[in-house]
Amino acid sequence: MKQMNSFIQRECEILGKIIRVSNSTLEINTRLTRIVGILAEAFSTDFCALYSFHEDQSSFTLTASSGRDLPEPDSSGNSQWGGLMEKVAQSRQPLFFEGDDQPVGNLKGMMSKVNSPFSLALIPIADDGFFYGVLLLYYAQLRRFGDEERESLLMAGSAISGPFRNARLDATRVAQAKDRQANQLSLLYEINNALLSTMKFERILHIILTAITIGDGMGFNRAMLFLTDERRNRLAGMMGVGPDNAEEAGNIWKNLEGKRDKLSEILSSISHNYSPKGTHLDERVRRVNIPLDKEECILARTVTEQKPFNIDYERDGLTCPEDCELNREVNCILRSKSKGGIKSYRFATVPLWGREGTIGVVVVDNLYNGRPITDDDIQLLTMFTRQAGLAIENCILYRYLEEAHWELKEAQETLLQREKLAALGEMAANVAHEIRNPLVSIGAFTRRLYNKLDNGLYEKRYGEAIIKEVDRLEGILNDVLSFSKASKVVFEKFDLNRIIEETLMGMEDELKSQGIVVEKSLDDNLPEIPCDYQQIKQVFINLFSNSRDAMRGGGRLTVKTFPLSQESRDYIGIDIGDTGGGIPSEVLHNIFNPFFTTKGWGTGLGLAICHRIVDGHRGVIEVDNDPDRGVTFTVKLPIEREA
Amino acid sequence: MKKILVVDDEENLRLLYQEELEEEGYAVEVAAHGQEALDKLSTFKPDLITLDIKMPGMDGVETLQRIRDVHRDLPVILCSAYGEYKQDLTTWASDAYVIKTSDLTELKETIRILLSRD
Repeated sequence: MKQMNSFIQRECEILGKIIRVSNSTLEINTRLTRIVGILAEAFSTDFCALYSFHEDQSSFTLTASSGRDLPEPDSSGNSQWGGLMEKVAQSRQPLFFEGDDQPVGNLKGMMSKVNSPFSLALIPIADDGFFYGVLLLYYAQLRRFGDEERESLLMAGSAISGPFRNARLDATRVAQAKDRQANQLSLLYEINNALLSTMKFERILHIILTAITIGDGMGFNRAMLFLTDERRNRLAGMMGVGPDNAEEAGNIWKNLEGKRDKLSEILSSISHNYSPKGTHLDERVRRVNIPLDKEECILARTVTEQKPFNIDYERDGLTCPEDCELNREVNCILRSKSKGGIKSYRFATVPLWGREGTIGVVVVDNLYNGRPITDDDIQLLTMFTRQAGLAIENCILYRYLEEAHWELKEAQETLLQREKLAALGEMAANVAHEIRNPLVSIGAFTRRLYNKLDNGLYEKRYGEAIIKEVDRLEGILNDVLSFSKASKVVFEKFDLNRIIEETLMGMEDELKSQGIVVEKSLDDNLPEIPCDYQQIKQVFINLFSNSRDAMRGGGRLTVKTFPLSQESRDYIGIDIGDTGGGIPSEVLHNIFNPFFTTKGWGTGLGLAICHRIVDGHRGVIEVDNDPDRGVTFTVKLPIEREA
Repeated sequence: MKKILVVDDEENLRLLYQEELEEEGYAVEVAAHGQEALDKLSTFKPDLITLDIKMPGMDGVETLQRIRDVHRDLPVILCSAYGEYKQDLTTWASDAYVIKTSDLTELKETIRILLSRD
């Protein structure tokens, strides 16, 4: 009895020590070395060692040992010892050799090699599932292993399996994590390839959202993308990708996943197959427009706080407020048709990153399969949105570049045109000046001759003809010169109404004699505007003259002035209308062209001059034509001179 | 009888103005360029001067300045084929600016008004 007690006590001591070490947080090899030390001492071995088993190579390596080396050094599986250990591995049974037993199998061979007697115990280290290795005890003498000892050793073997099991599980977990990481990186790489394949804005958005929803991608049910409009401080919905109901969901994914193409290829060919435009989700997303300072809005907060949100109503009770006006207006996509109402709806938002901060938000949910969104998901999404944001930014910048380039080209062409016209104008002016003097001589002397001829003389007719033609030439010269002069503008503030009144007064008699009634409604409160007095007067003279010419048999001339605002700039508008029958629509587009006229006389420069002058004042001249009644010209002159 | 000095570098125009103005009842002398005009100032003592702008050597504007140096109140009409000097500050020293046309009515009217001022 006493013997039994002391034995049990000793047992407990040994096991206790082993278990304590097993459960410690020391590194595994350290633990095993200590355990081997404990056993070597407890069992007074000459050599005690632990060999780990490697499944893939079916071999053993020495993990820890205590005492002298084995007579035949054995740290690999390629010897007699290894053979013994294999036997233990296969049978999962211990092997005891007490020196004088009948040697079995390999032992025979060993006995011949080792010339002195020895004893051996090989204990399997295993648990229900796995075989981890072998515990070896070696005595360089004959030794008996008692029953209790054998029990002891078996229990020790069992206890030692603990650290092995933990190590294995750790290794598995690490391997799994590494695997997942590798997958994620490969996924991001594929998506990046696809993103690089295009510079078209809509396609890039489509690729991003598909990568997020496709099974081979991140596998979310639905994804939506919003971009910030910095100027108006709002968030605008750009695109939504996702099925409208669960059935559609199933079908789409089945289709796309059936093809085992590389993800990047699927994504690159995306816009030809499956376009989100016109789907319910896409339409609703595009209608969303949220002010960024809307505090309770999770989308807005994602942008302003620059961090993701993972919303699970069941878990945190957080969701969009019931009374959000967006909800009523647009039936906000965040709360639509969730299975079982609000309770089971989960969604996550991730900020989109540009080079200098957030440029928008990506919203994802698992509306149809209700799969919870994990931190891992968020992490992957975050990695992705960095790429995605940059791709979008690049695309936008590219578009600006294209637009800027186009505008520059247009401006260049306009400038070229202007220069051509200016050069032409200058040449015309020079020619006109040169012609003036000779014309004065010709005309004036002809008049003198004309006056000296007797009134009845037939030849007086010739004189008339010459004088008339000279007058005509002088008219052309005047028009040409004022046309080319129109680009040199001298600005001073004038009251437009006064200029109009003066001009009308100058033409009063003329108009009255033709039976033309003048109707004026000039706004009293108009400010003085910077303009060139002579030139603006010329515009009115030309327009009034045109109206007069159109109403040979009488009519009504209406003149109206009024303030107006266009594209956030203020103008004064002047309407000049007549009842002269209008302009035939087929020539309407020509009327501002120089030298175009429907009259039998004149230079056809009148309206061209008006256009030039108004242009020089940075204003606009428009025509409203009523082919059977009359024409109204509208001149708009800016109140402020452009900086 | 009022005296008018006509300054123009073109012979035909000098002839024209002389004939036309003499018919109006003025005594007319002509000068072909600025220097000649200045010389005739002291000998002819005109009551009014018509001055062409574009002339070789001293142009109309410079001649005008020289005239003004001597006679501050003498009426001078700048007469030109060029309309753009009309708004030029340098021509403010003249009393009138008339653009040359084959119909001399405006010129004659301007002369009449300026001379009737005294």
